[in-house]
Amino acid sequence: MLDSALAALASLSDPSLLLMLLIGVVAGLVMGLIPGLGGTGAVAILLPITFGMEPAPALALLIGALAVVHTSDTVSAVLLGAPGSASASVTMLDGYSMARKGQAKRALSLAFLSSMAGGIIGAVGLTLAIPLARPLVLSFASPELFMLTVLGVALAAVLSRGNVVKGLIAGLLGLLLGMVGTSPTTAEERFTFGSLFLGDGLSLVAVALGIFGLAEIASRASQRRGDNQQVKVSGGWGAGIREWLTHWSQVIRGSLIGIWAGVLPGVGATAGTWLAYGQAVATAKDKRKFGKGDPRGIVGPESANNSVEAGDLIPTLLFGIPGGVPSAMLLGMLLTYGIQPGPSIITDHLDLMYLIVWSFAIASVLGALFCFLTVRPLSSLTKVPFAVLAAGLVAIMLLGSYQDGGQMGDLWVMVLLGVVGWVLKSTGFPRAPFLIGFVLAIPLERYYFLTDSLYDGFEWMLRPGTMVFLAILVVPILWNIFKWMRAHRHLDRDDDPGEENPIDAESPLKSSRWSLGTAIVITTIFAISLLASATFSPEARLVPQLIGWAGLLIGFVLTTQELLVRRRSLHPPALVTATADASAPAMATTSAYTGSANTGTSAAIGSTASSTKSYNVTTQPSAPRRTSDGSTVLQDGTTKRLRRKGYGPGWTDEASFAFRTFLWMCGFLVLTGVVGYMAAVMIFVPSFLLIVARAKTKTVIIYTAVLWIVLLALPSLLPIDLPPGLLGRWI
Amino acid sequence: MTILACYTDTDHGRAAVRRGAEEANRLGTNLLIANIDTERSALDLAGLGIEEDRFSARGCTAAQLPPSEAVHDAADLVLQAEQERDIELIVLGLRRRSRVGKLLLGSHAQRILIDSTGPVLTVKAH
Repeated sequence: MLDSALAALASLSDPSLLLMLLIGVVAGLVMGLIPGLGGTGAVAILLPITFGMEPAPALALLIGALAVVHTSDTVSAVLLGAPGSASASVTMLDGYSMARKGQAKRALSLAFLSSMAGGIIGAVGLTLAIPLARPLVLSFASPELFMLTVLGVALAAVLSRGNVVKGLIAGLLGLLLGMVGTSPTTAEERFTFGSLFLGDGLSLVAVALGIFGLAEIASRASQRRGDNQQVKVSGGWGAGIREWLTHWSQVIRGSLIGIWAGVLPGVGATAGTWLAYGQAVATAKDKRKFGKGDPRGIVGPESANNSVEAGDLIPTLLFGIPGGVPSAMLLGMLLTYGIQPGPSIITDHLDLMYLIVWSFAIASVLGALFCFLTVRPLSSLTKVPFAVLAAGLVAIMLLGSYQDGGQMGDLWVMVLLGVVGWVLKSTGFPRAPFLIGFVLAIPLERYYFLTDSLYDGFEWMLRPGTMVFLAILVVPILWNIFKWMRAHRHLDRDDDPGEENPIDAESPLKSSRWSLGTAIVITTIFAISLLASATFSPEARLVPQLIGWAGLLIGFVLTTQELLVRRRSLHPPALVTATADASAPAMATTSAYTGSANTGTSAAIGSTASSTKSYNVTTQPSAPRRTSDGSTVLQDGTTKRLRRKGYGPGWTDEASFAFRTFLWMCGFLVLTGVVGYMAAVMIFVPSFLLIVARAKTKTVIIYTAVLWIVLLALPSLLPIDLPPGLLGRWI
Repeated sequence: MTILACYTDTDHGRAAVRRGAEEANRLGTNLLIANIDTERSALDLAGLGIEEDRFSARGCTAAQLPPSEAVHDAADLVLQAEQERDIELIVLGLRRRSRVGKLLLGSHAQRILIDSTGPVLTVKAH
């Protein structure tokens, strides 16, 4: 084992591997800075580049990027108070306060060092997990692996933030989408509707970039202005470095929490960092400074978010169950190389495992080092408005998804899934279970049929491993039922997660016509899938039908939930009037809150005056979040619309902006189909910049020129094909 | 000086707020209410039986602890407020819990009782 570890380290001295690692680190740092991309975007964008490579350099590139996305996302959180990723919003609490006090360098050095340590401890955790899990993994046969895939999707669905029903249905939807294509057992085409293109199944890159990447672009492209009120990078590095050493126990605790959060499927960096922060607050004697610049509030979460990515890799590599979205894509990549994560990676590809570990550790150190050296240029990059970045990102993402199969169809699928992703995101469905379901669909089916053919009846369920997994699957369900029963007896007001807040900055269209419509559409999709799968042969039919029935059932539950929410908001209970009448004296207390809560309350009073008691007033002064300018404006917007329509937000400005962005993407695809990719970029990027982003002419010219040169140079540097277009073919 | 009452939307939570108000009136101090329920919305003080006029008449205030972005755990929220402000007494509602319940879920009340530096008054629902 030590031999393979050292051999892997020796292989990293190969300059080409090191170069790939370096490129990965730089790419990861840049992508960590772009809001909304994070690890998912980094892997999805880099994945297509690796298609022509050997596994080792490909892994070095991807792991290099994945290890450092959470190192640089701190920069914008600390300097702008606008986190580059959801997980950095925790660092913002104390980091931004510190930066405003002129101690930006202290906050940043604490964050970079903690990120580095988190990455290294994560890599150590991954290393230790290999010998520990080895006997366990090697004892696994197909029944255990089947249970693990089921568990992977189920846990991702249950543990994701928000509504469990929505998580489950997203997981099932992902499984269903993964079934599109050729059945692994009977080589029969399923859900292809006669299309040859769908016969291969959907491309993982297209799905991931659509559901996450394009959806994120569409929901953020309305940000035309960059934040200019940046805090100066001041203070000294030394103080922060010395201080960091005194918080070593926080570093270790944060990293361990991160690894654990990573191991659990569906619990990602965001939940991991909040757990670490909560831990730091709970164990601190003096809690006064938390939220106002306490170093412990930076150290713990920053260590956690880097070690989460390493923790994610543990179940991915050892069991073939992705712990998160980026590792789901990594799993897909390994499968395309014919490397089956799980038992066989330990027996046959141990060197690759150690290569991953070393890459992770080295990348963490390099990432922190680069961040220290390049804080100033990095921080100026955060000033670029998202709309300007969006033009280039769309071009790169679409190019990336073209690399998988070289088909324009993938690009259309991607844009379509972008719309789906946007709707899911806005209506509060977690998207991680969706992608994990998509990746695990075929392994799940394959393991099931292997199990079924190797064992008589349900004998496989009696294997000890299977029973343990069954217990893990069933116990949380029983626990939830127990909690639900207690909730009905009104006993647990202070320990259940409670009802969801109807208005949420991340998913503004939750509890509205939109989510009701989405629930109905999803239920219909499952019904159609049941009808369509009825014609398959019994073998090919089994799993899709199971998914279809489960989806239909949960779809009905979800639709009922949504209808109940609707009824409650259209006919509010008596409680609402009571609070509304009393909201005038309550103003005295709410005035202590910040801006947006006040507007919420005053709007509430306004609506009672005009006797449209149409929505739940008590939920209005929701805790204002200092995320960005956009979200505050958005809350005001939804309030106004609520007053007019009565039930949830209707067709909001954000929605029309997002759909216009998708139309732009469609236009780009049509152009690409006609005149070819290069020409289409030359038309799309400048016009998007001028019309949507309203950038300056000078910016547009330089931007387009740089992009053109890069795109011209790319095919000679990397194995990349550009879509030719009809015109190209004629000429 | 201020008395910190912990509100939850339960009988014992409301009892704690009531008792907190009584204590504040008796001792002539300010009243601060921390909403540690899962739904941390703004509270309707009049609805809870707190007469703000009485407080302002003697130059004191009755107010709600503003929600915190950073601290979410109920016990930490209360303890942070205690350390930050001049809190004379924490008033806390207790409920009956089974041994298993305590084992599995822990108890905010227990943490507040153990970790607070000042006195804590606990009340039960009637």
